[in-house]
Amino acid sequence: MTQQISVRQTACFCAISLLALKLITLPSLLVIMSTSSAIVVALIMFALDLFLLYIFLKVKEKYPNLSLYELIKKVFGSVLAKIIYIILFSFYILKLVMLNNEAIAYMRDVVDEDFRLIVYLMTFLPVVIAMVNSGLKSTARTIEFGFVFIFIGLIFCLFLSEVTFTYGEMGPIFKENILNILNSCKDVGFWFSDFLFITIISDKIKYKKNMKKIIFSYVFITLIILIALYIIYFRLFNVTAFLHRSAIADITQYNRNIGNSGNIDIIAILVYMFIIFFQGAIYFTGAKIIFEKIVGYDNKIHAIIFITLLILALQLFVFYNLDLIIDFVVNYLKYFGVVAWVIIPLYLICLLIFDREKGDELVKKKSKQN
Amino acid sequence: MKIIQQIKEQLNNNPDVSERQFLINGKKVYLLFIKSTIDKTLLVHSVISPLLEYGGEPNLSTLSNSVLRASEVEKVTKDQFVKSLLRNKVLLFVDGESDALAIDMELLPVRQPSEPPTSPTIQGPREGFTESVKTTMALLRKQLPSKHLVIKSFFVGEMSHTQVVLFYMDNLADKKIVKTLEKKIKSINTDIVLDPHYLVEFIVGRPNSLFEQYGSTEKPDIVTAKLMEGRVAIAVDGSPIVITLPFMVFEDVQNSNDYYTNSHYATFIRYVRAFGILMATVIPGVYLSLRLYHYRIVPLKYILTISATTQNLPFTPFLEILFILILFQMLYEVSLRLPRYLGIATSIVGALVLGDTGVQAGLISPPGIIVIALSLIAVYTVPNQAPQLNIIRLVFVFLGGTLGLFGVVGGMIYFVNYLNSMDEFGVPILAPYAPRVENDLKDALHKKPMPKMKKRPKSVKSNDNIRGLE
Repeated sequence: MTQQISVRQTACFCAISLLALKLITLPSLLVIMSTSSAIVVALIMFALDLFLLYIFLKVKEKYPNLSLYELIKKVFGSVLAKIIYIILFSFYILKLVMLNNEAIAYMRDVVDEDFRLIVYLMTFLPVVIAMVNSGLKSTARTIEFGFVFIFIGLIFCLFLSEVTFTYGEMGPIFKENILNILNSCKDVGFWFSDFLFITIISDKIKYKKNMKKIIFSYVFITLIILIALYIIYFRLFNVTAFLHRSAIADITQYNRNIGNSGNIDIIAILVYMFIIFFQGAIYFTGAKIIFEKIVGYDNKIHAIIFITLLILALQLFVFYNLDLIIDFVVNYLKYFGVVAWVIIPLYLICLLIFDREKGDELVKKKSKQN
Repeated sequence: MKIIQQIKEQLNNNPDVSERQFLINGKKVYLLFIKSTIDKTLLVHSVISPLLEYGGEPNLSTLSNSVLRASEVEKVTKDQFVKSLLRNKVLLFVDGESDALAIDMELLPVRQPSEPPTSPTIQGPREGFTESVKTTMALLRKQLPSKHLVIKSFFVGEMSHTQVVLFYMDNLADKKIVKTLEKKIKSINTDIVLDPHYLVEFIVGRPNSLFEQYGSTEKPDIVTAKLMEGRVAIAVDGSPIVITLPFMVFEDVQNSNDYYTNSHYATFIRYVRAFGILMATVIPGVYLSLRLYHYRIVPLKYILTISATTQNLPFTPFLEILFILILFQMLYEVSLRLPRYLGIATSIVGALVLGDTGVQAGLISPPGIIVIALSLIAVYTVPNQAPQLNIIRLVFVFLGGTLGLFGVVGGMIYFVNYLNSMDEFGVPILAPYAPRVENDLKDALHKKPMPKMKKRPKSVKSNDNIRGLE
């Protein structure tokens, strides 16, 4: 089958990417870094993410058949394109490891305190590998199919949390000075910038005129739910947030009516489990596509084996718990993040403004040369 | 006549191969037929009487054109003699001519169309196909008297020479799909074909797949509706089952009853069926995972109930569920195979001895029985999917028992992804939900009233998308 995905499926990718790494440790991390201004940091980062998404979609409009790799290669040649892709590859691998660690921490915190890493990997890897192996199209369909349930589940979590919330007690939110806020933004950058995935698979997305409208509507609705959950979380736990590292589970568990309704936080648990697999498949697919570009040939089996071994090695011997990878990301990876946050977007903006040549013409030229 | 002796020898001198000889105007005329498969009364009236009354010079063309009163007569050559005889034709030879006339006189034991036991209807047509492909054709013609209906016949099976018939609407069906199917049917190399299921594995893209890749029914109204959506139907002589292609999973959540009742009720019942699929497959696995690993997320009162009923059990929860599951599955299989009166007795023994006494003896727990019984009953909300759902349930029991809830969720995603990777004849099997096809959502789980379904399903490629235009 042709591996092109629809705009709606791309929108589901974006919406899931918005959720995965932001529902567990990030809210507590934001409070630790910027206390009562955590919501401001989150809002700035969301706004920045939205801006990047806009840029990426504009690029897709202008160059419907080119991926990020071809766009970089077009101006700087294949060597620099490969260097950038190697950085992005490590970025995606670390995101996968972070997702795994967050998921394991979450499972231990909420579902089963004896939950073992090996059980997680034995479940997560076969499913995600099967998804990646079946191709982008079927992965996109699976995520599209599951998105409805995730969305309903999220709304349910929101209502479940909302009953614990008292309005009018938001308190002052600008205690921190602006420099601290910007510093926090820089430190948590790794948890954002997931829309970059769109540029990597850009050539595999079917172009549609109302593309921006569809994608932004999915993203906005998901973002509203996410921000609402953040506000509830910050309001509920405030300075004690560092104790609550499984945000989505904790806010639903603290429902005052829990005695009447039973342990209905199982819905939050199920929702997050689905998100783990879907986001895992997105990161893995991203890493696989990047790997194929770096090595210069399409062999998904080789790519899958290499990525799996790399993840296992990192997971088992380097970042075997959540604190290790958070420390690494906050202290070192922010410099890597410059590529995703500054260099690539700036380059794409320049292309949008200064490049008079249309992507389609480039493709035609390429095929003539071949 | 020498050739008659040769044919008889080729057919092992079987006792039902009969020969009749006449002398007409000094010339010998022979009839050769298999008496167990022809209508003897018709033979006398349409062939023997006219021959005896005929006083002219007998030759094949005169007999065919002016003497025989049969509806179908064709001239056949030597190499077609045995084949024609085996297709229940009467062969007529005239001394001195090398060819023969094949006269259609077929009369095979056929039952009358009746309500199929697999899909009873509350309101709506009750006719069902029979084992005769001629009845299938007649019933479809009756439902669909359209000039666009195309019926193509093939003979498959080296030994059985079974008639396989392809039905489609030439103005609706995708020509590529029709061509592919024709090509695949023609290339089937097998000894015998008794049912469309024999063909399916030659036709579908993934014959090893656990999941069905075709629709099957015994009802002409369902086949007609599917033909009108641009699908292709395949019938096999000797079976009342007709298969339809391309197929989408949600077809099995639909039922012909849905179209003969209020659309709100149809929608409700379809959601119940979809929920039934979920219950049938994952409930035992989820129960097991909650009991074994995630008891923290089970409400306290329920934990107390479960622990009170399970504390003295000799088996682990995993073995208990597996034991009950296999027990129930055996009971189900036995009740299907035994004669009806014995089946009822077995059900009583199963329910009383294995259920009630098993609990009292402390071998199995009431929650375990309820969960398995619920799961087994739920399978039959979608009977066409029963075989694969029974296997998938077992997979989820293993996942829930070993990897917990995370394993169950992983399993669900795996199976959905597997289904999504199936693109049989270019039609996504989980459409119209993955990928989402807006137009087709009007008749998926949700059913809109008929006047609102102006367009045919887009998921199935069709040459004419608007309903109601001839």
